Amino acid sequence: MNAVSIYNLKKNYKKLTALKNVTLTIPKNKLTCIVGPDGAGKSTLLKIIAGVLTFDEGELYINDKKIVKISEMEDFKDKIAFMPQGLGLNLYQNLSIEENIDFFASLHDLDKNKAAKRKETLLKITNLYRFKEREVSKLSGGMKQKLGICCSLIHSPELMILDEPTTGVDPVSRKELYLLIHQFIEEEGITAVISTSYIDEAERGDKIIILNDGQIILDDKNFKDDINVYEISSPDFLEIYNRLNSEEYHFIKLNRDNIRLSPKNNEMVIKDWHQVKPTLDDRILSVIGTRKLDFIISPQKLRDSNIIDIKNISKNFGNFFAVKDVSLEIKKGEIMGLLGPNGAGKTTLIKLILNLYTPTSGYIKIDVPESELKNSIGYMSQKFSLYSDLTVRENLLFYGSTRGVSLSRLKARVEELIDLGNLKMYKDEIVENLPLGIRQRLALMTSIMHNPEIIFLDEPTAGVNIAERDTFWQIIRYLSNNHNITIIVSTHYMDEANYCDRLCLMFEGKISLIGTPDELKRSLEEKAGTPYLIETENPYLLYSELKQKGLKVDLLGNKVKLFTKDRAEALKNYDRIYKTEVTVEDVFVSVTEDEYS
Amino acid sequence: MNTHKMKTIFIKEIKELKRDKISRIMVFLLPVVILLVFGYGMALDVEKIPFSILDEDNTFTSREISYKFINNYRYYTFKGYVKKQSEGIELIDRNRIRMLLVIPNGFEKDLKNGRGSSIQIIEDGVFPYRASISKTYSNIIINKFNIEKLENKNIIELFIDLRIRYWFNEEMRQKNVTASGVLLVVLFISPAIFASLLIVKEKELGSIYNIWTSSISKKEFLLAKQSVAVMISFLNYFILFAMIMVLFKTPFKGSFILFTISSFIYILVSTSLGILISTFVKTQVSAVVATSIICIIPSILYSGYLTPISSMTNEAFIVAHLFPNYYYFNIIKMSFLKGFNLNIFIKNIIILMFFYLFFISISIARFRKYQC
Repeated sequence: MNAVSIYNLKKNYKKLTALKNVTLTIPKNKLTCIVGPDGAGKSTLLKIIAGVLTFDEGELYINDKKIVKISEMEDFKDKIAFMPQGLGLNLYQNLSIEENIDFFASLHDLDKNKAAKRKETLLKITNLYRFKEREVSKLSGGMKQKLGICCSLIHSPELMILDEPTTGVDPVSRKELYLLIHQFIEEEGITAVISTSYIDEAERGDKIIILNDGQIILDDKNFKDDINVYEISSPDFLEIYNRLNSEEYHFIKLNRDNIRLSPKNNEMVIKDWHQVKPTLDDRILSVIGTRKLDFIISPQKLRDSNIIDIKNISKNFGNFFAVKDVSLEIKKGEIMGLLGPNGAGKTTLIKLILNLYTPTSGYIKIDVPESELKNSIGYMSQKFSLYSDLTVRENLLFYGSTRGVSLSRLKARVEELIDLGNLKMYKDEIVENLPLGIRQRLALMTSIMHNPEIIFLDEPTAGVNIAERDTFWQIIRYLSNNHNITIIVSTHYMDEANYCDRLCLMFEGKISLIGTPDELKRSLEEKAGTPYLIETENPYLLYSELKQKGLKVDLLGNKVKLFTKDRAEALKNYDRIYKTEVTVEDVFVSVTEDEYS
Repeated sequence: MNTHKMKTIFIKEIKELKRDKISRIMVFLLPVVILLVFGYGMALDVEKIPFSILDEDNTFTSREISYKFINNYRYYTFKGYVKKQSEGIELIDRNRIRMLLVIPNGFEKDLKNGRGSSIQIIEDGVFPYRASISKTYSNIIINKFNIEKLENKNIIELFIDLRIRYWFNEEMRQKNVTASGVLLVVLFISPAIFASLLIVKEKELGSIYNIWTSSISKKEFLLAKQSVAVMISFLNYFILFAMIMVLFKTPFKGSFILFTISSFIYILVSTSLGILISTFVKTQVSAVVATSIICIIPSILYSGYLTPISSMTNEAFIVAHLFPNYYYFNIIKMSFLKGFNLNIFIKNIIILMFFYLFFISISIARFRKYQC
């Protein structure tokens, strides 16, 4: 049974094509994840299903009833719940949690007693009961999203549509959100559709639909198992990488310590490679392809001198410690990732390094001449610092002149950056018309215009598709290895964290973990055990069982991820079980959960 | 219609209004500010003109004519004597006085010798309208003085005595009209802005999706929102009415109940116009700007508030009849100045009702529960 069926759906906004030719089904009583980068058409698709957006061509069936006119959707509106994109934007900020839920309940004309009972259940499940009098404007992002879900579920809908509910929400709350949705699928038999721009979240769905540029590029029914993916992780992987001819491969992805690739010719052999199980990322990349930039990345230099030396630094605003006794050394040329939930102190720490705040105590030493400090730092913000009405070239020229690049050098420098950023084909295009990935690359180029020694990147590739993300990180790797530029990335997206040399996890103003991604994963494995994936008929039930036993578990769609040190015990109990890997997300969630408890 | 759903919207809005200080201030303060600004500012009466006297003659007659001005408290405020012309000019320059009365040396002597004499008045002509009114006042005072003198000498006994009586606004107080007429402007602009914001706010923030994805009908939603705006604006009406009576001391000759009913219907018209505007705009800023511009022009220029409709050019005369404001102004004039007249009341009320139905039905037709 399908809750929704769509055939050859097309949707154009004035100039823009949002959906090209989409055919999909959404199975009842399951969680369907629609994954894609910003601008892929996710919101458009969800709004059409929710009956709040018209479409141009194609067929839409809700509960097997064909929708011809949008007014016919009115019959389904009490059975559908839709939560639009944005943190709690559909909630009423001045009203309390309880009042918001009451509003939704009576908007759907629910019986008062029934609504009150259901409200209590929902509030208790989401752990919001204690805060029910609190105004929405005073809630954290994760709490807002949970409340949004409560409001959507109050009228016991059959179909629940959530548009990017996890954007801007920290990993712990993200995990809780998915558990909550699975719980309702299990207990009430609802159908859920979720969109997200993060591929790692897709695993949490029962069904995955990957959307790119208005088209479905993967639907988990037609997963090609025939792609061969290899990994090269020998010490000289960078040299091998530099020699590869991208024409011969479906994709080549440069990671921090390895390369993953898929050759077009099955007979091809490269020494030291070994075949690996294709991940979802690999499958997507094999469809959309990657672009290898034509510069030679030199091997990593020995990084011995510290460029930034932070000693016992604290910063408080009144009674509130934004940063508390933090010590951190960053080596020259290193790519350092700053991770942490919102409000963990990442931004304050960066502002302290930039000398925008004076520390309350402690000191920061930056190994550049004091007079040169401003000129040796570049900054790329999360929101675009670009002028959207200017062309790529004009933006670069503008930033060059404001950054004091001499006129005689400016032209040559701009050409250099256009080459480095692989922006040649876009150089006379107006920025507004460019895809997000290109704009982010341009923003990076403007931030390194003046040859800084340190650059700060704030969630640089959030919402960018993975092929563009690979291109972006090739440039970062090149800047780090060839030019010895120090890069500090602040993010809470694991996709970005994976590229960093070292990660620094912050929580409530303090550093709770620091190390290379591998070190962090290993330490979690030592502490919690090896992760296994268990396939079962009823994953939610198994998850709850194991959770009650006090084991470390996570629910990933139709599988349960279990951390255990007792390998034999695990293998004995379940037949469909296989070993998997620790992710940075696991580390993050584990640390944050430990800190909370 | 599902009144339960409508009540839900209504209660939610009232709660939000209670919590949000800024919109509360907007809703209740804006009408009062408009009332004060228009009530005092639009009054075109020229009164209490500050002036000085340069009396070079300093005789009985010169003092006599000086006192004619000084004792005219309604139109003139005496700011003292000056000793030199330059001193008086300086006071005009510094905006201390607007008029200087100069009585030359030998004024009384010339009069007694039957030669006739002249006095000089220096006016601040920056605002020609004000200066010319002031000139008219001085003319009247001097004429009266002349006639008295002639009568005393028995030179003239018979002359035409023109006696004008101003009906409906006996004292010719412009404020009676401008103050009561402010209702015309305030009860048009602020309910319209409020009503359009109530809807555009949800559009801009994204909570409109709650409405779109629920089964509440367009009519229920819009009427519920309108009822909030009507209720608050109706409350404002009472506040404004009281302020007009107390601050501006305007007379009121009609029936308060019938005037209140007409005002209620006028509020229905303005809120429905606001809702209509909200179906065109997406952001709160554009809603405020669009609503203000759309509301100010008809309520000030085409209502008869500034210029009587009957003295407008043909085109403007027709245009004025196409806006609801003219009809409410008829009721205002009737209630405050002329006294109750059933015919005028019924005729204008029916026309206003028609405007309401017209605006609200287009709004319901235009409002969409989806995006395109």
